[in-house]
Amino acid sequence: MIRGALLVAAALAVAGAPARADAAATDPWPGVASAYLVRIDGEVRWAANDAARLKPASLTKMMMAVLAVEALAPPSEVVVSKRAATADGVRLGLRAGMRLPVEHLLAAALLRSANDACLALAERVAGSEAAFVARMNERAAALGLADTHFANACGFDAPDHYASARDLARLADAALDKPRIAAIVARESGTAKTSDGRLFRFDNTNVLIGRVDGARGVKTGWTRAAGRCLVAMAERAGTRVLVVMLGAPDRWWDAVAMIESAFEDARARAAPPAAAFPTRP
Amino acid sequence: MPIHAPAVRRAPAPALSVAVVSTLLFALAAVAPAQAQQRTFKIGGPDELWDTTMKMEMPGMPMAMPAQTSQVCLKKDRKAEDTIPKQDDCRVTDMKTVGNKVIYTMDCAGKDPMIIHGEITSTPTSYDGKMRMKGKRKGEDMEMTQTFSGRKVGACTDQTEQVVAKAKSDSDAAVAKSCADGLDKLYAPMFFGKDAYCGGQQKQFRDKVQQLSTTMREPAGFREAQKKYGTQMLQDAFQASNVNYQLTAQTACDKAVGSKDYAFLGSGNCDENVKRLGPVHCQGRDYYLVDRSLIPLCNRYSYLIKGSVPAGGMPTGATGSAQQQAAQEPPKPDPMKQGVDAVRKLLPF
Repeated sequence: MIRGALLVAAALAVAGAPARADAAATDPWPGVASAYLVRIDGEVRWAANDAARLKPASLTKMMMAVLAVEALAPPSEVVVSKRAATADGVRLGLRAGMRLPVEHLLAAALLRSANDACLALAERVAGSEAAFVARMNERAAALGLADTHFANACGFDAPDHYASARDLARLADAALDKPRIAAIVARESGTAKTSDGRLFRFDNTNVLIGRVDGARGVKTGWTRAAGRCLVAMAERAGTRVLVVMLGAPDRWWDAVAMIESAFEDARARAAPPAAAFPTRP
Repeated sequence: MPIHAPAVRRAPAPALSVAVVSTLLFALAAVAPAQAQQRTFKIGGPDELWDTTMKMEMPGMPMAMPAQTSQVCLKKDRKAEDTIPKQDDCRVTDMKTVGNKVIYTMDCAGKDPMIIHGEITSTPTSYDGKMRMKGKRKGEDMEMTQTFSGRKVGACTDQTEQVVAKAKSDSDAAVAKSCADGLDKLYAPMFFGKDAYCGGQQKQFRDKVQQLSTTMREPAGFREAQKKYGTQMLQDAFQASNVNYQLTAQTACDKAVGSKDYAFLGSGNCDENVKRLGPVHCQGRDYYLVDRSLIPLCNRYSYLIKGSVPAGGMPTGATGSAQQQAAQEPPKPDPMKQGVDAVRKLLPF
């Protein structure tokens, strides 16, 4: 009887283990992005063009955040410079001389993708954006991001500002390893309050948070050259799925499909919990 | 007091041919003393502890077989017949008592039947006996002689019956508990099929599945059962019980459509409904503008259209075919959405 139970368990295990596709050779979503990568529990499951050096847009801010949380511990405050206050692109609306807690600026930079907050943090950490960018590139080298180079702190298009989907996945790991960053990017919205009481409210540009079961962050990006970009992580029942998309015109629907497919794939590959089944004593 | 199993001390076996060893093993098994069967006793008590010896001889054997010794606990109220070495297949057909000697004949059935003539002389503290066995082994005549003796060496308590009864009781309880666990977990292989050791409880299993199928016709009941048992377990249980799982699921899905339970519809149980509703509620819309309540439905729809058939059609207006959109009558352009899109195109985020 026990043998029978074991045979049943073994049969279930075999039935639940579909043939493993060669991840590198598989592109189940042709054309969804200039480059993409889907990882399940750290293992690349599907990828296309993932080593190509492409514009990362505001996904750059993941590196900014890593360096910022290492350099600035709460309750540090940052005074917004005139240059930061006039940053291009998406802004929170900060004015020169405003003083805000580091954590609030991080939230604004990561959730709202606010470039004024991003630049204020970079300047606070290194004294200037140029010095901060040098640190970003040093860290990229230290992390082994061979196809990554930064020309600015916040993700603006530039000829020598690039990253690969593969490198961005590793950068996302480094960012999520920082509990402060992980806590921020998992929020649906945030606030930033200046020392004189001015309050900014903003939503997370990552609309998967709260919409996709288990979504935990991490960053969105868009520039004219980069197109729509996304690094998204979701976790369910101990399985972690990371999706990186660069130049993805339909990033949200495609990210949802990729994340759901990855969890289905993980579920199908997992052996049933045979030990939990009662066997004849 | 410790419980002992009867010890049987055996001398190293001499080098014999395979055929001879096989025959000897058979013979020993056939005439193993009743007392030497796996019995349990403790020292001290109302019964009698005996040291017993048995020796086997076969004509033509190059050397004598070593004597087999064991210590057994004999019931004080035993019958004379109980001391006669025998096996389950053997039946005493004739027995007479002359003084303290019992002379008997045994008929042993089984694959290799044999007739045994024996005698045993006993006193309150000892017995000696001899048996001559004639029979056939694999079609060939076989003859053996066995001598046996016993000496009372002390007192004991035969606990075999209690131990066997307790073991059976424990085993029955363990099986019952396991079957209860199997019923609780709805594990069909324990109740159906050739390895089903809970087959006697098939009715309870079917009743439970039948009851579940009723509650699972409602989305809430379906969701609860799925959470408790898992989809695969439920499907197996329904199949084993001849209850239609798909019909049950479809009933719950139809009710979810009526109650606009999009969370249930998007849970993976209602994919046919999702394929029908997706083009109406999801296709052609920007993800971030879809109503939150519809998101589970639309997430599933996106997975079904893009994920499960990655190279297939796309649910959004931007990538869907014109024919698809015409057929599905996509929603009218949303001015707010258009405004948001226009702004987004200008700003890096």
